[in-house]
Amino acid sequence: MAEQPYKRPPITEAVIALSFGETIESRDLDKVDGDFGKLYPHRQDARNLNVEVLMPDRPDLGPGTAIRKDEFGHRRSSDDQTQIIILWPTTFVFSQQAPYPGWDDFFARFVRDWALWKKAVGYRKISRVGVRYINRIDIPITGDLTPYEEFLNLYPKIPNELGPVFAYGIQTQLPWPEIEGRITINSASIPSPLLNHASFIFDQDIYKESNISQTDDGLYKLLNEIHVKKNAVFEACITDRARELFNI
Amino acid sequence: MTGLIVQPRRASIAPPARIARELEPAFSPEAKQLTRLVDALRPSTPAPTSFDRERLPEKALAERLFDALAGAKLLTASVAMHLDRARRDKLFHQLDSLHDLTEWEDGDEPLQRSSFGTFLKAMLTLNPHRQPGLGLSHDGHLIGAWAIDRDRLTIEFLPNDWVKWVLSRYKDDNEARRFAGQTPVSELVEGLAPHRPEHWFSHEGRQRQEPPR
Amino acid sequence: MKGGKGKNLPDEDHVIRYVPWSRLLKDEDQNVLGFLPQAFQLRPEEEYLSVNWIEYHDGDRATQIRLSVWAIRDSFDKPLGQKSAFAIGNVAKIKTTSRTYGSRVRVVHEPILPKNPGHSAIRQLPRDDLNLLDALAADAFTDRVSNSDIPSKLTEPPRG
Repeated sequence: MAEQPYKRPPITEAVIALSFGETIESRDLDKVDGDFGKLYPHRQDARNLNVEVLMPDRPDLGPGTAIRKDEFGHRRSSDDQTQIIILWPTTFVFSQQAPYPGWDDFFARFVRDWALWKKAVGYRKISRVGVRYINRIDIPITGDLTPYEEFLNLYPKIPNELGPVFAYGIQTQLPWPEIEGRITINSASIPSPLLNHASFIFDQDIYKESNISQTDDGLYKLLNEIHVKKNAVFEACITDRARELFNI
Repeated sequence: MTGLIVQPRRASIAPPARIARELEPAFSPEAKQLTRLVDALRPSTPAPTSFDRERLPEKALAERLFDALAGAKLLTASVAMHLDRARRDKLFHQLDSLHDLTEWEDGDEPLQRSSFGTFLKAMLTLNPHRQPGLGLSHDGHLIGAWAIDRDRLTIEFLPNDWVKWVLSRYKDDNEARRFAGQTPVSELVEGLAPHRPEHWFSHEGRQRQEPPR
Repeated sequence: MKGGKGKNLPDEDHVIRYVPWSRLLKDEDQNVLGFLPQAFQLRPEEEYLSVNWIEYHDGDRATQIRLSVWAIRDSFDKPLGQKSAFAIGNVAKIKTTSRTYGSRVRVVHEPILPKNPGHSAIRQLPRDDLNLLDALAADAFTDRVSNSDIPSKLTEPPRG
């Protein structure tokens, strides 16, 4: 049974993204896309376009444009759209939408898909390993103010003289020297998809960009370490009142 | 303690964090990056895998239907932690059947994402024990309906968190008493309350229902 | 030809309207229970609600319904969905139901020749009166025929 401390974990999306030091040829990408067809029957084209607008030197000249990046990929999904992979020329993105099945199931699916990917494409040097968990904490509204400080331990500290806020957003970047990695946390209030609730995003992105083990065992060990760290960071950033919400 | 001010029900969402255009030259690149990050988190977090696509009118119908279904399922995922698995699976089965290409009515619009968002808000608030039967209006608004004998409750889920509903209850004289309303979804519970919606939402009501003819 | 363009249908007669799967009233298990109000809602570009006059055709009731369904099928560019249905209502009941909600509709013969000579129209129907639409769905169009219950012309045995 998958390890899962909460009845209703607030995870909206969990992602593992592996970036490679070289571009994968489109024919190899097409092949691996086909290989994933049975596991992820729905397919859509994906395109990542990055355009820069160039300011003209003179006012009588119009702006120019330069395409900095134009890459094509394949997005594949399960019938219920909860299991998704995106195959880019330089990145393999593996995603799970809510309901989150627990790390064991999530990781087992990744191992299966990574093996399939490597069988089709062959060895490619991994240049970045990233794991991202996006949580949304929905707090029932009981009055004119939602006391997020009673649910979260990560929020902007605002002088009392300034009073309550309409909205906030913060980003925190932390080193993780034990693995030579970094943790980026984005936390913000957002419009809630539920009535009579105030919602807060807790988005954790943990990544390593140097000295990455290129063996499967090394990769899996790293991902499991990241998972443990992710849990520790999340637990440090929420209170028991929030934990109660995840078990209703 | 600071706390978050709860927005009035009909207020628009909090204004974006972006810097006024005329003030931009005064701000550092770091400040601008931070406002972009904050704005990127609203109205929904952009994950690296999910993305909204513009609906291109030239798209083939099958693709439009798929996009509508995929969008609805992704939106459901955003609140899946509040839904039972069985309920979610039944909902998806109903949505799939509404978008069956062989049953599709030419000229209809596929399910509008905004309408489905209204539906999810309503269902998570009403939390009926009995799920509605689903339909689709010609302009892509989801319709939820309940029936007990001849008594009916129909709710059309409009974009932007509005609902339109009508209910009818038959008395001994065999004549219907009909009531209709159009309100923000936040006022749906209040609007239905005088008409005892548990008549339709509870399983006790279903047991009294006549079999389909 | 029976009737005539613009002529009111007799009150004792009936009309039949195509209702796609998406506008059928169903329970949570997809069992069909009737019609949603939106099955009788005018689209923005429509001036009238399209129906067929059942008694335009000769024969017994089943034959009249079958011929009406065939005409409706012929008027569409593609086959109708197997799970779709047809709503049947009495003309007088349609009119009295509408009057109850403050509207005076007309049910008139508007043949579309040659394919659909029984085509008719419910005119002066208000656009967004949900009470009226619900009443039409529940009290006026009281009979239902499944599309799958009506054989195609090709499978109909030839008459001796």
